[in-house]
Amino acid sequence: MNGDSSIVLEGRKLNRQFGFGRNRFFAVSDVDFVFRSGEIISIVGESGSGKTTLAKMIMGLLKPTSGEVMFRENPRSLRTKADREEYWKSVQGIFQDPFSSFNQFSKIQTLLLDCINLLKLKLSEEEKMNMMREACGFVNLEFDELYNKYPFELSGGQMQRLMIARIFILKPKVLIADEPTSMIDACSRATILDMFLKLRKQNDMIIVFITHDLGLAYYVSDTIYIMEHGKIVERGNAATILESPVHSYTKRLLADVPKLKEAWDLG
Amino acid sequence: MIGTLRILIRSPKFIIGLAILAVVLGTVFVYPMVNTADPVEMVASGFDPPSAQYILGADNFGRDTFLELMYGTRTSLYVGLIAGVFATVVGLVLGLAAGYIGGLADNVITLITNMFIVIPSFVILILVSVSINSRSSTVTALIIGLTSWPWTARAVRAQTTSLRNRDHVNIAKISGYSTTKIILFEILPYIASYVVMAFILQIASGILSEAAISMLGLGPYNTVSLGIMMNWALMFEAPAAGAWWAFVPTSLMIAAISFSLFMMNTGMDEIFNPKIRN
Amino acid sequence: MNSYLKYFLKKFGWYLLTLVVAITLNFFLPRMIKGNPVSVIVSAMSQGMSDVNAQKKLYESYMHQFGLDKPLFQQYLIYFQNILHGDFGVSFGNYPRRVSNILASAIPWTLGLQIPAILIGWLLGNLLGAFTAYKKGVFDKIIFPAALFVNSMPFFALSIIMLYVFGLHLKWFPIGGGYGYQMIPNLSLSFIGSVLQHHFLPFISIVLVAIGGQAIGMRSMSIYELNSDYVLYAKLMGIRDSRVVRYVFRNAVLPQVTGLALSIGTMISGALITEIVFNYPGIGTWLFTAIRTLDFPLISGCTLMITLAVLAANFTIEIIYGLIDPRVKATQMEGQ
Ligand SMILES: Nc1ncnc2c1ncn2[C@@H]1O[C@H](COP(=O)(O)OP(=O)(O)OP(=O)(O)O)[C@@H](O)[C@H]1O
Ligand SMILES: [Mg+2]
Repeated sequence: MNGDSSIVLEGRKLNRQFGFGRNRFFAVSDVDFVFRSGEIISIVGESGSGKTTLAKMIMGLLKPTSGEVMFRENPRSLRTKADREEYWKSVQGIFQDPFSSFNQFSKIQTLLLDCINLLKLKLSEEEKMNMMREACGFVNLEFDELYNKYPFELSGGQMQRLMIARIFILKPKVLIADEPTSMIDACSRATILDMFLKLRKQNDMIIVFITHDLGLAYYVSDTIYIMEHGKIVERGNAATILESPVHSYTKRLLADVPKLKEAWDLG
Repeated sequence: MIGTLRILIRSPKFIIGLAILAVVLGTVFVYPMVNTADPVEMVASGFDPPSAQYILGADNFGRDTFLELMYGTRTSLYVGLIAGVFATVVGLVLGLAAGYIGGLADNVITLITNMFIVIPSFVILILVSVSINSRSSTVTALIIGLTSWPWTARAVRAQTTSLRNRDHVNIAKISGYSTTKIILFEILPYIASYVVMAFILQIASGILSEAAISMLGLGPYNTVSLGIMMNWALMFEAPAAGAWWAFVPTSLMIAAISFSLFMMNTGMDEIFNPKIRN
Repeated sequence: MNSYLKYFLKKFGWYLLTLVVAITLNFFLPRMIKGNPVSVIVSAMSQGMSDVNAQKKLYESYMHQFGLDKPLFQQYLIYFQNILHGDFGVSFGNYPRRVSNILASAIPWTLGLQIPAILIGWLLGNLLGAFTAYKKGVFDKIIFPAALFVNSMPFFALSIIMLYVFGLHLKWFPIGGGYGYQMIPNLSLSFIGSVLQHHFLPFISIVLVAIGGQAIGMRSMSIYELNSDYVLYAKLMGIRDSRVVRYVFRNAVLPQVTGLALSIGTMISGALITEIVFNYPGIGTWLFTAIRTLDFPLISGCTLMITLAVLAANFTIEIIYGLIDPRVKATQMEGQ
């Protein structure tokens, strides 16, 4: 938004190739980005345009074939365990499918306890319980009913809210949300979006929404990146892109969201 | 765990298999406590027919065939079990390594696995056995395990490869899990049922391999196993002597044990893969 | 066709590499554990032969032929070279017969027994398996356990029981050998008749076990296909049952072709032991004799032949599979 806030995460010519020889293709090619603190960003593109691949590279879950990610203006290192823990305390993610985001064999509390352990806080059992209770309260879940349950006993919306509770505990600087509401019913969708925004207000974190819905992107974000076939074809201020799109692909995406202003006039 | 057992109990195939196995195990371990005679003592003359005293008569050496069958089954079960454990552990480790690490390690392990699936294990079994002079049953079991791990490795690799990219593994990673912890808590629980099923098949194939290799005269030394009993029956021409008791019960015992294990495996398969339920 | 040629070449290369690995194992495995092969051969010779003169000649010919005084790796190269020339050395137990000569006499018997038995067993097994899956009910409840039980029995156990019942007890069939022992191989009708008579029992034992194994695999494959969405859809659309069954059979039989490739090693090995039971003049019986007399060149020749046969069978199946499966494309061969 405002040019003078500090750069937290920066991508320089990120590439990711899959396959070899004749089957080789670039899922992500030459992507540059700059995420400044306090910003909400959306990366918009059709299915298969490379959004998830890019998200995974940003999260450090996938090695770029070439290019570099700068973290707080230094090249990101994930070599040692300490490096990785440090990075994941600051950069976190939420995935598309809440059902596959949960280990079906661990109880709910494991998910949240792991986050507390990642923070390396010296807490008593009681304090840990309170922390998890508070996180669940934030997402309107009753911790004492849930903590001993298994994921298959929850609904998709509840699962995704638990994923937000995770973020509430970790309070990262950057949150990558890869289509976090695409598998959830419309009702919970609005609630969950509101939780994201509330979370950001409290912690001043960068949220990167990944979505194929330009309308949603406009509704929540300051900056929009448009992605097509692994490339960023247009970027800029959300309102500017919506009012005067330059690239033909953006125009096409825009045509799919007819009554934009009304549709997202939820407030 | 308890829940899984409760589901399994509802499969008639699993129960039948388990029941047969239990009867075999019960007989084989209880009878020698009742009849404490030495199984290799020659108590009758060669190929004596079944009688009240020796219900399965005597073998070519004049030993009590029934008692021998009890001890032979024990050896065969032991060999099958050790071979199964060995093959499962090796297959699991290699399969996990290939599937989880991916890249070059995957290519190398997959290449070796595929080769050893195609090169007949029987041949390797012969080549190794022929060159070891005094094989105990444990050594025989290890040789068998050495030739049968590729099946498990291949199945584990396929499962691991598809699990590795699941989001719960990604969540575990960004929660700071080490690789060991991810394999133990995020991958293993998902493949556990397959591994147990593969283990059961490995035991059965270990017992069959022991029988085959002993038939060739390359079985364990200084012991009685089902394969060795079959080998004796053939070498001393029990069929020509009309001594069916020297090989029919042994054949049926081998078949009964592997049948029970196959049944258990099929029952589990139907439960864990609902698609193949009839 | 171009992509099929690529598939073919790739498979060929892979199998060639596997063959080299197998030959290498054939050389190194026995030596790795035994240590010095000279002493092994000397001790084996003194056990197998009484003629001192012949023993000495054999020893010298071995030292020379296999370069046993040279370093192991050089011996390996010599071994490889000999094999490429079809030279497997001289048998200890049947001196002065050459191993290649013994193998050449045994191979037709083994092939003549196993190829028809395995193919017919595979075919009948698949039909039976598809049938039980389709019929379900009582039929499935009887056939499935029966097939599983037969499959649980090692080939040789079934063979020995068949030998006893039909050969010795009922005297319907001869009890051993490849043909009447008083006969001299020729092309007369009586000789061929004798061969067929001797062929029957081992053949049936192999076929029965093969049917069992294949029927089980085909049954679960067919059930899987029968439960799939397209069958349900076809039924809702009112497509005739017989056509659905044809589809199901075709889809289920493809994995069974791969299944045959995977199980052929076990089948061939099992069938070899059947030969021993019937004293059939094939590779299996020779292998048995060789192991008893510690005839190392013959053991090694037999194991190499078995490996070669199994690899060739696998290769053939994969090549046929590539022809019948429309999905085989260059991209889908990455597995191997
Ligand atoms: N591990 C992988 N191996 C090979 N190809 C891959 C892999 N992961 C992704 N791809 C390919 O990369 C391309 C981009 O995939 P990606 O998942 O990043 O798309 P996406 O924009 O997230 O799509 P969606 O909206 O459907 O989630 C796709 O064509 C996909 O098939
Ligand atoms: Mg995606």
